[in-house]
Amino acid sequence: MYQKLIYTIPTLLLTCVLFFSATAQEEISPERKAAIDSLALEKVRDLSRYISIIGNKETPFSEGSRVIDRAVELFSDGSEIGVSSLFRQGIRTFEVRRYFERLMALNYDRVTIEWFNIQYISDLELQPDGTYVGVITIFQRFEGFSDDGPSYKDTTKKDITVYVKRKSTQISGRIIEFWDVLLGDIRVTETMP
Amino acid sequence: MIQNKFSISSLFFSLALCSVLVVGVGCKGKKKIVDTTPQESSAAEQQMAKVKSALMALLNADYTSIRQVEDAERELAEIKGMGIGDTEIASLILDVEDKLARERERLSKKDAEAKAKAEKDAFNNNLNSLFNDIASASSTNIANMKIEEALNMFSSRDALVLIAISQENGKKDYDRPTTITKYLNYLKDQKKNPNMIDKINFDAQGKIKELELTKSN
Repeated sequence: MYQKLIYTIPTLLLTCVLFFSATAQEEISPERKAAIDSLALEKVRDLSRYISIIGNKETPFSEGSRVIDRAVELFSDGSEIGVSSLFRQGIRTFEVRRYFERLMALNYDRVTIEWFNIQYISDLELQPDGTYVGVITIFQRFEGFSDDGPSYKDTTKKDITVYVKRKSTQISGRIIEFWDVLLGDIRVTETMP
Repeated sequence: MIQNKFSISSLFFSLALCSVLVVGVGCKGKKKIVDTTPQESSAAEQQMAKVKSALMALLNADYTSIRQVEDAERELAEIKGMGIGDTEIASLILDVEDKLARERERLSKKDAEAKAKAEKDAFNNNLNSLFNDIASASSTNIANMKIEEALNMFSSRDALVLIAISQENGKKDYDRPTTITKYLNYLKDQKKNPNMIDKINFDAQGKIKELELTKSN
């Protein structure tokens, strides 16, 4: 009797988990999935451009502040961005807005930031709660120039967690369903000269 | 006696008048017979056949423009002006009139739709051209000027912008809804215009209150 329960309880639990997982999931066609994949990649490319604007010393303060707001909107609450240096051991992390504010205030005369090789390293996978989660990797080329001081440059490889969830909102009495793409933590995985 | 004499003369005058009338009518009848010689009768028949043929052509024609209908209406007016008292022709005239009225209504509607589409396309092209100008502006100031110009076309700076990322079985998948101010700044920041104008909803003042775009890739 006791041995029978040992097998029955886990089987029941597993059945329940599978049932609730299935009900939370929405079947989508490969074409729709491809469109969502593409949308998430585009958000990362958009972030790349925002970072470039924020870091650019020629960007007026008002424009930089506005772009920071837009960049922050791309992230889920509480997300952090890792920062590394060739001259320092370890990785420091900053809350996203703080990271952008520090980026705008960097003590260089000229800064160029370029992202390249933006691609999925882990495809968007449907989770039991209906959220698609994936990881996109990017390479960042950073160059900071000072007219009368040292310059710095490095290339970092970073992993960005991406969350995509179906949501709905009511606008002017109309329900609009949409895919919300939110970026999560950005982790530095490699720092190269 | 005198009265009797008068009656006889009246009777005689009446008979004479009748004779004149009979002869006159007789002459006229003779003249009519003379008018419809076999050659002339054949010409009249030919003309009737020609008119019928013209009416049938007007009835069966495919009209593709209002101008063609107007030409047909003129031709029909000329035929009606001939005053041919033939029942078959009269019936055909009614049929042609009916057909031309229907064709005029159909083509007027088609023209109005084409005109509305042309106006819509011109408006969309103008708006899309502004989007391109913003995305390709050589400076932030120029981009901001173009943004203000574009915003004048909208009912508010917060007018809704929807971007469809895919469509399947008539159901659209959208990106997160945004506002026109944010979208125009997006074009400026990203220096690209990646979406096509799909649908525009206007308010009572003719300003855009909602813009729907579609990913063009």
